[in-house]
Amino acid sequence: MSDLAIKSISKTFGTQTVLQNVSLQISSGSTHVLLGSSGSGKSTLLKIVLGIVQPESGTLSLAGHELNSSNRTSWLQRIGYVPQEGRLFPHLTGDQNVRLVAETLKWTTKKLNHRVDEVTELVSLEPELLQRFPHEISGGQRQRLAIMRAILLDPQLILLDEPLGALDPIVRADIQYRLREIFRHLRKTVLVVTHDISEAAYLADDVTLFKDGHILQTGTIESFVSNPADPYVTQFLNAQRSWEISHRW
Amino acid sequence: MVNTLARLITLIIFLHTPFAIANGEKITVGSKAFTEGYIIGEILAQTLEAKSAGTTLTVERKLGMGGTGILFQALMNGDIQLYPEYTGTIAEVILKKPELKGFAEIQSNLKALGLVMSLPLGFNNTYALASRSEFAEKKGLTKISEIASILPTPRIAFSHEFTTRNDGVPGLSRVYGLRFGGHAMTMEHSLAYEAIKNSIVDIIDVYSTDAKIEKLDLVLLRDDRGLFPSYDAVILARLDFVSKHPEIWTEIQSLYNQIDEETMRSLNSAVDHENKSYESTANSFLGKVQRTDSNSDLARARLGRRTQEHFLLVSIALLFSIVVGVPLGIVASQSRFLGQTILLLSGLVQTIPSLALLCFLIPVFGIGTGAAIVALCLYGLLPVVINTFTGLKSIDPRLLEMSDALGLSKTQSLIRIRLPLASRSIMAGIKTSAIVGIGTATLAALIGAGGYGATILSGLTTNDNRIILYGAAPAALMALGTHLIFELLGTKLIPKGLRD
Repeated sequence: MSDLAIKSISKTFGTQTVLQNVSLQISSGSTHVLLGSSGSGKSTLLKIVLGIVQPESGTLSLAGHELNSSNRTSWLQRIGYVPQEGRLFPHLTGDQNVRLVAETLKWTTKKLNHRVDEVTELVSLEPELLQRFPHEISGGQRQRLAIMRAILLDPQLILLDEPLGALDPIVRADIQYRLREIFRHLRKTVLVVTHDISEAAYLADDVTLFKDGHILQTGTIESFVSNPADPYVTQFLNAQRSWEISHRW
Repeated sequence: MVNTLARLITLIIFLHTPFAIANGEKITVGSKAFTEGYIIGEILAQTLEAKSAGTTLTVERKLGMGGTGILFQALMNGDIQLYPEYTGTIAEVILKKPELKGFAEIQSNLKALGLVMSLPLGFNNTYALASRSEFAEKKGLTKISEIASILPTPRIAFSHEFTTRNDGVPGLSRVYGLRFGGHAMTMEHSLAYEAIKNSIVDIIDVYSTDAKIEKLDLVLLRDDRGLFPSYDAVILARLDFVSKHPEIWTEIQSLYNQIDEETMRSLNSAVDHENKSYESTANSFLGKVQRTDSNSDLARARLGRRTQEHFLLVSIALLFSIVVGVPLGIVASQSRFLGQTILLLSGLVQTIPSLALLCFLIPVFGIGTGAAIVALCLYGLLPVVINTFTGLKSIDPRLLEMSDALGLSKTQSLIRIRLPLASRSIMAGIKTSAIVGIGTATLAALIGAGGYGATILSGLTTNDNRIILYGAAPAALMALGTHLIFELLGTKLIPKGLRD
């Protein structure tokens, strides 16, 4: 079981409360999307789950193991992270970017080569692109590399923060499709932050909508339509009308 | 990497050993950086060499060092055992008792410092004011007391030491009531001659035995109120050296009254106007085989040695600047307080005038290569520290967050992410430090560490541009070569993904 349990998380930046007493249970193997407009607290929650932002209060546990100050490194190694625009290191080739953490963990070359081949195939990247530097390849290719880096260590949890926000629609649709395949294939617990409802509808088993540091509603996207918990839910959905079309596609 | 470094250091030490004498006692002769200093220093060195031939004693020359302060420090430190000095300077600058006039008085005061001076060599090289004869004639100027009444106010250039000495500018104002205010420039002594030659100034301070007085058609202004004390040339030595080697001291004492003013002027003239080298001038004075080489011949002949000295000074200092500067830059980038402190301190070091810094360093590191390397390393630190700091500070914070999110430790992140990302900036800092260092290393000659500075200083003393070029041109070439080497190193050390 690799359930992610988020309990009573609160976070303030200065005088501004970003998250107030947020609790969320994400079941193993499911893909959960955090929705909300900018500043609603969804990205902060993702960084708290990742372990790079400290909450004022609350606890996190993954597969029953709670995050504390002494196990942060091993916590981070159980999580794969795909930030917006990939954030590959410009001084390393694609291959070096993907291998970086496994190398620091002293994986054998044989094991590492095998694993790199595996994930290259999984994201459908042409293997010769691995030898190029990030500035020599396209945004979509960079994002595929970022996904490879995130899943290389076979993490229990994958976090994606607006992973496709900067891509053009065709590449975006292609990678969305690829991501859904990977999530289903790997049966990982996945947490995605996006403000794009069509993307949420396409990827998610469950969705949580944030407003002003609170959870407004958690459930399937269909339940948001049929049973909105707050007028804001409907307002948020209607603001992006095309979601139904893309959801059917 | 560590191996390569160890080999490099071994190589550097190996290259350096030809200059260090392994066995036997070394007598080091110092001198100031003007023609007369070099010549008397050379006479002294050759006299000592003749006396110590066949013994284990070896004679080392540290001629052309940067002023009384540095030579006195070096003498007190035991880095040199003896050097030519003048009684007036001893009383004025070393003992700080300008009222001492008699030989015996000065000698007994020196004893308290563990020093001793030889009997006078025979000439009095006092300070004097000199004017272009054409100017003096036109204004009817013959003595110092008349300067005040000349209109328009004459243009004056004084050497640095003269400006502050009690018997220099302050004495002129005390005894003659002369106030110079903005009318007097302060410049390097040999450049003052150049200035008066080109009628840029009207009056300069000179040494009375200087051959240039005649050459440039200058007249000495009579010291009609007796300001300038007598500057009888003597050899100033350490007492412990003299008592250990009485036979050598006897030999030095035999120079008593051997060089009168006329002789000294002609020795100076041999170097300054007849293009003879200090060595051959001293040689012929001592009645040995006539040598005909000029200082510029010697400068050319020594090009290889000066290059080696200069290269070693710059490269060892650079190595230390990197070894100290990069970690300091890293530490500075970690904390705001430490960062500001480190940047401020390394900036502050830059503001210490080079001569002052050298004077501070001599008591600790002695004279010669050691102190020069420390000074150069300190001067070379700032570009390395600042560029390391700036390089690390200007990394995209999102990349640092990513490095954290990947679970890399601080050390892993520093080595695999932060330093490579800052490498461009760090390399640029090291390159700046190297190129600036090649220029700064010419200062090393002031404390007897050799290098191109020794050639330049010697050329400056005799006002011989050819000799200056034998130092300045290879220094410029070395800077150019360094630039090219760093371009090449950049293609190896800066990750390909960061290059244009």
